[in-house]
Amino acid sequence: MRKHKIRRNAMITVIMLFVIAVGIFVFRLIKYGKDWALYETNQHIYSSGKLVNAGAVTDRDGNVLSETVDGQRVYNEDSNIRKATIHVAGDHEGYVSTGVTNAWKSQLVGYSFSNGVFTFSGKGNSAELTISSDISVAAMKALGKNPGCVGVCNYKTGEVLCMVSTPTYDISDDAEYEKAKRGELGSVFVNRFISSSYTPGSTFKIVTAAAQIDSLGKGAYNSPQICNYGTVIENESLSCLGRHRSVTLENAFAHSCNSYFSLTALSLGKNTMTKYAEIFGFNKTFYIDGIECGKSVYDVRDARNIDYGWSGIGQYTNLMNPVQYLSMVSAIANGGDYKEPYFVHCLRDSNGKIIYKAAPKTVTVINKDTADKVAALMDYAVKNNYGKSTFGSLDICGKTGTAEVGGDKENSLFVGFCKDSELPLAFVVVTESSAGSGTSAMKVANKTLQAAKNTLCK
Amino acid sequence: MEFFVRGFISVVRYVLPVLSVLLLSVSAIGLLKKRFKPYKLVLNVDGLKEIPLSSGEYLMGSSSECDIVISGLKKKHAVLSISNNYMTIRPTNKSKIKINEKIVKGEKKFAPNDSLTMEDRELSVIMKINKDKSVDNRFLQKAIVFSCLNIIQIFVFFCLVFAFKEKATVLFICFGTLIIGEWIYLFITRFLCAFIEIPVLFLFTFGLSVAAHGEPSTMIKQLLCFAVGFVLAILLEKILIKPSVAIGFKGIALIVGIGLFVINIIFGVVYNGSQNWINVLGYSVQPSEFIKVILIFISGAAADKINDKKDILPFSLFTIISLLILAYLSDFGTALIYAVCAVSILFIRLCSFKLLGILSGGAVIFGGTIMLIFPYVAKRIFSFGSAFENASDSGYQQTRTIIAAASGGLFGIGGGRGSLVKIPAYDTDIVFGLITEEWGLIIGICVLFCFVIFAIYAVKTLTVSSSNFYSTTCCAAAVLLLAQTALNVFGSMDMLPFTGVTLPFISVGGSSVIACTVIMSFFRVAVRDEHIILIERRRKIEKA
Repeated sequence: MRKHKIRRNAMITVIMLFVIAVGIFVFRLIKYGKDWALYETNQHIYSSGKLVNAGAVTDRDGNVLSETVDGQRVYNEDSNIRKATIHVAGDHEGYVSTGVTNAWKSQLVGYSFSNGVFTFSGKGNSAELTISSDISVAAMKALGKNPGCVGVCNYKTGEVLCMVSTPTYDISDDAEYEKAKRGELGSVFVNRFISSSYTPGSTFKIVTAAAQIDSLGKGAYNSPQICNYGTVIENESLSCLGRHRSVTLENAFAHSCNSYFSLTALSLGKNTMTKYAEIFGFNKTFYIDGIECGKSVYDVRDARNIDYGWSGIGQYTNLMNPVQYLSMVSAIANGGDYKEPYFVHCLRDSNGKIIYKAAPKTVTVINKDTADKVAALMDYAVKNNYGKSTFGSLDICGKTGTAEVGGDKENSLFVGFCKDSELPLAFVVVTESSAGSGTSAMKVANKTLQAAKNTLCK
Repeated sequence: MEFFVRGFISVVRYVLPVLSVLLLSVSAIGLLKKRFKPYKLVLNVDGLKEIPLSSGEYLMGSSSECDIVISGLKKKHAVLSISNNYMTIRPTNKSKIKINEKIVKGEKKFAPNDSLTMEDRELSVIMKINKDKSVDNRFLQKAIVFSCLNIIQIFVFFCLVFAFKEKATVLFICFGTLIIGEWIYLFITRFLCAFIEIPVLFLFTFGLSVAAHGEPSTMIKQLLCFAVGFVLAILLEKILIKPSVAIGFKGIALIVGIGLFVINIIFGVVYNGSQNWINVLGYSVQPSEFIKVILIFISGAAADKINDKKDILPFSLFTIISLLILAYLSDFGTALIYAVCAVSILFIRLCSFKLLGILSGGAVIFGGTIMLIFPYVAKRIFSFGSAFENASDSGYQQTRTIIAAASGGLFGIGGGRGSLVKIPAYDTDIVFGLITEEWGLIIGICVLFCFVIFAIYAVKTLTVSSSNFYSTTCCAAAVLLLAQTALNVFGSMDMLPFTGVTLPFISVGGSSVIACTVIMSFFRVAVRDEHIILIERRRKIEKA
């Protein structure tokens, strides 16, 4: 029966081909099913390109930021809250890609491979955020017309209380929304807090100081450098705003002496500086609730000595990301480790059952001693330079920074934390404004933190 | 009420896949299980060697190409065939065979223990009776399996009633008739073919669920066509059950086939780019669907005697004419199915790899020529795999199908709730998307598995059928159904060219349902043949 065997094998080959094709089909469905199900023509989720099936998004106090009512996505009644939280809540047309409505779309519509888009009630899941609308509105108002961003988190828990990015827009104001879509309002759809990278300027001195303290121990405080409106490195001059003469770490930090920190970087060496920059998250990709953040860069491999000197004070090619910076400041405030920042507190299905709860990981950055010493430097800077009274009753430690970005534009940064154990807040503020308004980031930080105090200590 | 409905759907979406998997597994096992044989046949050579035999044709001779190699004979000496109730021997190449010392000319029947003399070798076929073991028909098992099918049908019915409250009466009539009809059919046929019917009825149940989205008359029409198909199938079985009689109808089948094509060419109406429809008394009919049945029939007739090479000519000619006419009618999907089916059959018939190469080469040349003449075909064929880049034009239907399939997950979003119904051809060309969306991927895979069951059964017929006619027609039917399913499902899922063929038993359309139901008669006769061998021979043995 040799022919029978050939015939049988021929048939089995045909069957196997079919079964393999079925296998490929299933494999593709497993691999791409989520993308396919969330494709914008899926009428279970979208109505003429607009997301309608997602559940509500609420802030930490239960205020609804966005929800679906009668097949339409609606937003908070208060125009200020809408504008201050649109980057966090996201929109129904997918323009703000880092908003929770878009970044967490599959979870909000309740998609899973096994259940598809089926949910018991036919409604999606709702998300509760850690964001406070009141603090966000205060931050937005403080930023005013300046582009910039404010991020505030609880450094003990990782909860992000405020994540505001300007310029912003009012999604419920049709005329304004249309303008935004046409690009007439600038890059309003970008959440600068998550997606931007800025030149860190003098705020990078926190990293240089930490490297100095951690590697030299007590010696770090008694190794003075000379500042004469700057210094000279290999016949090229590096300028400083003041003439600090022979200056040691504490005062150099408080008065932001460029000469001191560039010479310190030079004496520490490229490897040590790169090591500490990377400890604080430079050259790493950060994620906040699974959303990829903008990059942070510290790369001095090919730098000449003068450039390397500039890198020690946050210039050259250095770039920071606000999320990365918030993590760094949290670690310093919290004794060397931090909880990963997050803003999605939990997800509930339509019956109110919690189906996801944030569980931030603890990341250890440096030892407690170094962290506390850097924190003390930031405390000293506020006391001796910026003035404690600037912040009213709040016990703030911080560091300012300025970065020229061409033309008469400069970015002003203020990063730090509140030492009060009742109000364990770390913050990062960046304002993009005209040159000369150097203190604006500090003002924004103050207004935001005062609002936080009023909101949280009610 | 709303809460109850949601609760019901939430439960049923898990119950249905479990029941379906169970049902199809049991029917596949039942179909493929080795049956108890009340006897076995062995070929005794010179009283020294015993070679076990089963049904089918054996080429005997000294050449190593033969099925039974016996030294001392001519290279290809004789063809021994063991069929339903008798055995025959036929000399080849003027070789000499004696049955009980009488010289044989042409094909001759012989009985067990007759002495067959070839050259100087003494052969005989000896029947050994196995110890008695009851050959039961497993009525109870089959009845339970059918009840399981009924539960699935009732669940599907309720899901649809909740989704289409206004069509409750029609749904009740259709599903009621289907269930009652099933049991009447079972009792009439004494449960003989139950296991092969289960996949068919399973598929048709989901076909009805698709039809429920349309006008109420669509469902009734679908059910009526299914019934008509069954009646035609039963009539066809009367002819098919005796292969020698069936082969006599070969000429008529050829004439009917060509005739249908001629009618199609003359009265054909262009619909969706291909001229494969004709209007009969206000109904649109697709003749190419019925010609599929004829193709399978002729393939069986061509392969009755696998050791003769003469009778493949009518089959080959018919295939070539069919392909040319289908190309002329621009029905390239059907042409592709015919081509795949024909190549498989010719290979199964001739077992020649050289031929397979020639045919594949021919197919490539033929396809290439078609593409040169009709450039839009080439464009359509090579645009698959990029549906999402062309989501608003050439990939419109495919992307919607894929999205729907992904939305359903493993368990579906509930019968009658699919969103794919807004897309053209949701009930025919892209119907698989609707099935997976509403009933889930598991049921979708079960649907595909049904066709695999048919094909695996066809493989079984190769060794158990008493005639090559049964096994070849089964293989042809299985390849045809598999090819058509693959083109429909993987075409709509953007893994193959989207040709717009129907999904057997599920796509809404009278011609398709009738043709597919009739095609099943080839499987049914094979199952019956398997049983007849057992039952009738047991009786004979008992008499002896």
